[in-house]
Parts: sequence; structure tokens; C-alpha cells
Amino acid sequence: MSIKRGVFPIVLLAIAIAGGVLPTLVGSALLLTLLTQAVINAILASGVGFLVRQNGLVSFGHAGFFGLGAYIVALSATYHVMPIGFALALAILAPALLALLLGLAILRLVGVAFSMLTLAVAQAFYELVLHWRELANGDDGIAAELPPRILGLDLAMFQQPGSMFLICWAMLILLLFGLRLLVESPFGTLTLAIRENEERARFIGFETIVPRAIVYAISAAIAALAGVLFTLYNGFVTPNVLYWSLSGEALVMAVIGGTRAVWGPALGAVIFFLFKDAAGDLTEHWPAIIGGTLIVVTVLLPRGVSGTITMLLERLGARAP
Amino acid sequence: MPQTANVFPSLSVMENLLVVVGVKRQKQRIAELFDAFPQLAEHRRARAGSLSGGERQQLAFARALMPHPRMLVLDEPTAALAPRKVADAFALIRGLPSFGVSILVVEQRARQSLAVSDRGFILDGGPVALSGTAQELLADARAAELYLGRGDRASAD
Amino acid sequence: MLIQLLNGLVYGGLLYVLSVGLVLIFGLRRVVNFAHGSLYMLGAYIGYTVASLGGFWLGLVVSVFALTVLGALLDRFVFRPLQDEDPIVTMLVTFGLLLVLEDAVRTVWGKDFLTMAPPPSLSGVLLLTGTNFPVYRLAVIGIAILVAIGLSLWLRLSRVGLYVRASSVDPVTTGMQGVDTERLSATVVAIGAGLAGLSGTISAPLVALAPSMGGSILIDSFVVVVTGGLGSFTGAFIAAMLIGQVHNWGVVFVPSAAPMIPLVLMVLVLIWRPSGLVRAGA
Repeated sequence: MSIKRGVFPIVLLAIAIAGGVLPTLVGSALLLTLLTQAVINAILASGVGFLVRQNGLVSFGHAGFFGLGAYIVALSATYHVMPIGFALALAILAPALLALLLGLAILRLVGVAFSMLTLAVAQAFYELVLHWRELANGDDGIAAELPPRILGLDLAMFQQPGSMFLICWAMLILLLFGLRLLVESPFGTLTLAIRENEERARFIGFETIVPRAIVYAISAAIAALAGVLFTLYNGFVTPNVLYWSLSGEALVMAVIGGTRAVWGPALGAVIFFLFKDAAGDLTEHWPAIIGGTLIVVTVLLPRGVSGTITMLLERLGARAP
Repeated sequence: MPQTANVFPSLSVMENLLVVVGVKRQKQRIAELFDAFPQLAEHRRARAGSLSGGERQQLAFARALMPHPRMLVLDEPTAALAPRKVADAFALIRGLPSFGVSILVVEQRARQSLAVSDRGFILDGGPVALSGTAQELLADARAAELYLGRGDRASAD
Repeated sequence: MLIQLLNGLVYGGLLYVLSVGLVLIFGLRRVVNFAHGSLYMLGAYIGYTVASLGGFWLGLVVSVFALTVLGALLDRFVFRPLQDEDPIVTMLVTFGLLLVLEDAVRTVWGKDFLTMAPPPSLSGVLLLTGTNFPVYRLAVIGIAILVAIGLSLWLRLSRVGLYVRASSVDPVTTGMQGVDTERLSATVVAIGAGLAGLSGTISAPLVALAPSMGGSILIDSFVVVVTGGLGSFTGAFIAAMLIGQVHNWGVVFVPSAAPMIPLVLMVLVLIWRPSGLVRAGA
């Protein structure tokens, strides 16, 4: 909150442009692939972070919404049940609707129970895809038969790292801008108030479950968007997109980046992917690395990088006349 | 002791007393306390959560007395009670010294607590403004001015 | 019919033994151990390895003992240092632990399925209403019942059990009565982890061992704990038996959608009773 209102769009624009020219600077296709994945994960992490920021709730199962989005696109493209445009919309709206309904049922519970159930729901979808082999080949995964043109763009645009990076990057920037607007809207203020003191907000006369369920639905939609981009880029989906190590990865990014700022989780995602690149040969033990990092970061860096940065900026601002 | 009578609602009356650690001859001590609080003895197997407010307070006192304390500090023991129960609570407090325990009560209801006390201290913004025997304080005009309330200075704050 | 009912009891029993450990730990530490499914899995693997060297019963004893020790360490080095933090911090850490343990097991034992035979003394079958039913499955039901009886006697009648119940309601006031809540927590977390080990080892002859085996049962045990009423022992028992039946009938009739059924049941229960079947502390 310390960065002034006027500054945020300018900084965001600068970062957006910087990102836009990145593909022309980066020669290595491998690095671009990694960066594209990083941006997709940054979107997922932003969804997780938004939930923490506005609801004070931690989801251990955002892979569920990510994977649901990914599978809906892959399955509807493969079985040709609807035009791709509809499929993309459904892939984002269906997880959001699920989260909304689920939220209405489980948001009345204490935060601990909510967190348990987010994990349970995501893991149940994982088991479902694993066991229902006729649906999506279970463990082996499914290749999405995507049409040659999607929303007026060639499929190749989505599957080559150079162009896909730009698409994902634009999505991320739009998303952060939208989240920023939402956070500063009356709805954002209301949900923050509920997060701080749910009982008091209720006594003042606000209905408190529905706004929180809406926040949950928005954050699920963001995760689903990331899942959709994932399928478009890779053209192949395995149950791993629903597995808890992905939920863990999203949490690690959100915690590294810090959730007090809307852009924190995205920053965390970028940092985490640089770290992943450095981990190199160790990636065989990726889940353990995610888990270990989660433990270390949670304990040592509770504010996250963005929290530390805003704290430093605040101090600088306080010193300046 | 905290302001609300903190008993374990899901444990029985008996268990609420048994939970205190390090009491010599625990069974005998519980029997003594049940003699002193017959209402509790009657409900010994009942869940503490099913007791009335006054009974809960008796249970909280009984539990505090378990380890033969030499002194109890009561922090506004009547704060959470219905006005009609306040007199009962003060009667209960009046009876506590018979267990060989000194009582220090911090109270807003100055007149009623002085009525069951031997000595009193009146604080004004932190420091002790007045002290003396309960009778002296009740009779003291300055005490009345400071705290006991006459007309515009209500005792409730 | 009877056979399916019994199979439901087998799963319900395993689920109860695992879930009651979660409830115990929650009662003392007010956190949910996300790594509980991993403890179950680790129990199964340790049991598997020791059993292949010295027989099933030795495997069972060693596994329960190893997990009990691990539980005490978990309390000492995770729950205790983090007790003043937001519960979310501890949950994140145990979730991290889950990922680490799963990877560690994959590294040590490999990711292929392993199978384990029941002990020879229990390997027969019993003819029930015209169908053969493995004796070992009946033994699992028996063990779960023994655990349930033993645990409730311990909680009702022993002094430590009384402290556990008191602390589950109000840890601060319990501490004020002179109860050493730190030692109590270490004991209880150790027991909870030991029960996870027990559950894992006795389930090993019934399922194929894989590093991901902790996942599906963890969901169901979370569902049990929440449906039963967070922190309630009685609720956990009822919910485990219920979910055990529902899960089993789901596997029989709609195998591909079976993982979803307990969740649906839970949502229905929560709409009907938002705090679960049994209020915590009862």
C-alpha cells in the first residue's frame, strides 16, 4: 500500500514494456521456455496470493482449479464437444463456479478446516482423473487436439515460447492491473474488513460469506486461467497438473513474494524459477526442493520479498522530506 | 482468576477439580470442597457446561482452592454476572477466608466489595489514593468523592 | 452385502486410527498436521521393510515405535518452536514436510508398487454368507476396535487422558492448573504419529505400496475430521465409520467417481450442521 496510487500503473507499464522486449533479448529458446512457464505459474501464484490477501485464507489446493482449467480445455478440444472459444470460457468459469458454491459451504468453517478442505478437494480431482482412465488416460495424460486457429490466432502462436511468452506476459500484466483495481474498489475494502474482523463486519450489517466466496471464486478463476494457458502452450496434460506438489509450488511462490502486495506472488514466481534454473541437476528431487523451500521461506521470510521491499520503500519515504 | 468463570465445559465437575496438578491427598481435598459447596457435590458427575452461572463460579473457586493456596487474586469476579447474582457472588467471596486463604479482590463495585472486605485500597489513575479498613473507607467522604460515586460520579466505568 | 459392509468397516477402521491421531494433535497444538498422510505412508514402508526381514509382527512393532519417535521429534522441532505463530505457518511447514517425505520415500524405496503379505497366522479366509472373507481383514477391524476402546478408556480414566481432554478445550487454563502442556503435547503428538504408523502398517497387506499412497487416505481423513467436528474424538469415530461405508459402496458402484463421494457427503453434512456432527470438546 505504500506505493502511491499514481506510481503503480507507471511502474507496471514500465515492467510490461521491459517484459515485452525480453524475447528479443533472450536468445536461448530453453530460457524462454522456462520464462513462459514462470509467467504461467506467476498467474497461478497471483490467484493463491489474492486469496490470502483478501480473505486471510490459505489454499493448499489451487492445483485443483489450475488442473480443472487445463483438463477442460484439453478434453473439450479432444472430444470436439464445443467451439474452442466456449471451451476456454468454460474452463475459467466452471472452476470459478465450483469455488463459489464450495465457498458458500465451507467458508463458514474456521480457517484451519478451510485449508484442509482445499487440499482435499484438489486431491480428490487428482484421484478422479487418475482412476477414471476412460476419461483422460489416467496417469499417461492426454494430448489436446487443439484446433489450428484459436481466438483468431494461429495455434503456433500459443506453442512457441517467443510468442507465448508475450501472450502470457500480457495476461499477467492485465491481471495484476485488474487485481489492483479490485483491491482498491469498495468490494476490496469490504473483504479486507471482513478478513480483519468477520464478526464486527457482520454486526455492522454486511453479509460476510458471499463476499468471501466471491474472492475465492475470483482466485480460482485466476488459477484456471493459468491452467488454460498451460494446456494451450504444452498441448498435453497429465494428472500432475492437479497434484499437491503444484499447489505447494504456488504457495512457495506466494510466500517468497509475499502477499501484502498484489504483485508479490508474481515476483515470487520469477525468483523461484531463477532458483529452479540454478537447482539444475537437483530437479529430480523437485518435490523435496519445493517442500524444503516452503519450510525455510515460511519460517525465515514471513513478509516475503515484496513485504521487505515495501518496508524499505516506506522507510526511504519516511526519511525524505 | 480471570473475569469469566473459566471452567472446562466438556469435563464433569469432578474432572474439573481432578485436573489440578500437585495436590496432596487429592480425593480428600475434593471431598472437603464438596462439603463446602454442596451444590457442586450434587452435580459432581454433570458436565460443567450444564451448570448455571453461579454454580460455574463456585466450581471455579473450588478449583482455585484445590492446592491449598495461601492467597487468591480475583480480577473482577462479578463482571460477567447478571446483576441479581452479584450478591450471591459476594456472599461466596465472604466465605472464602474460612478455607484459610487470603483474598485480594479487584472490583468496580466498590461499596459491595468493601462490605465483604477487611481492608481496602482505592486507586486513582494508578497510585493508591486512599487506604484503610473497609469501615473507614466506607465512611470517608474523600473515598466517596473519588470512587464510590455520589450523583454525577457513577461507580461504573 | 455383508461382505461389502465388512469391507467398509475395514476402511473405516483404518481411517479412524489415522484420523484420531489428527484429532489428538489438533487438540493439543491447534494445528492440522498436513504431513499425517506421509506418516501413514512411512509407517507402511517401514513395516514392509522390517517385515521382509523379521516377519509381520516385528514390522508392526518397529514401525509404530519408529513413528512414535518421529512424532516426538516433530513436536519438538516443528510444533513447539512454531506454537506462537499463526497456525497457517505451521500448516505450511507440515505441508512442506509432506512433499519432502514423499520424495524421500520415492528415493529410498523407488516409485514402483510394492506388495506385502499378511502374517501367516492371519492369512486364511473365512466363509461368510457363502463368500470367502480374508481373516486378515477381520483382524484389521479388530485392531481398529481395540484402538477405539483403548483410546477412549485412556482418555476417560487416566490422569494423562484427563489432561488431554482439558487441554483440548482450553490449553491456557490447563497450563495454569500446573499441567506440563509441553510434555503433554510431545506425548500426544508421538501417540498420534504412532497411530499413523499403525494404520499404515496394517493397511500395507491390503493395498499396493506407493509413495503417493498417503494422498487419497489423507483426503478422507481430513473429510472425517471436519465432518465429525474439528477436535471431537466421538465425531471422528462416527464420521470414519460413515465415510468408510460410503467410500466402499462408491468403489463398488461408481469406481471412477469414488474419490468424490466422501467430499460430497461432507458438504451435505456441513450444510446441515456447520460445525460438524459432534461439537468439539464433547
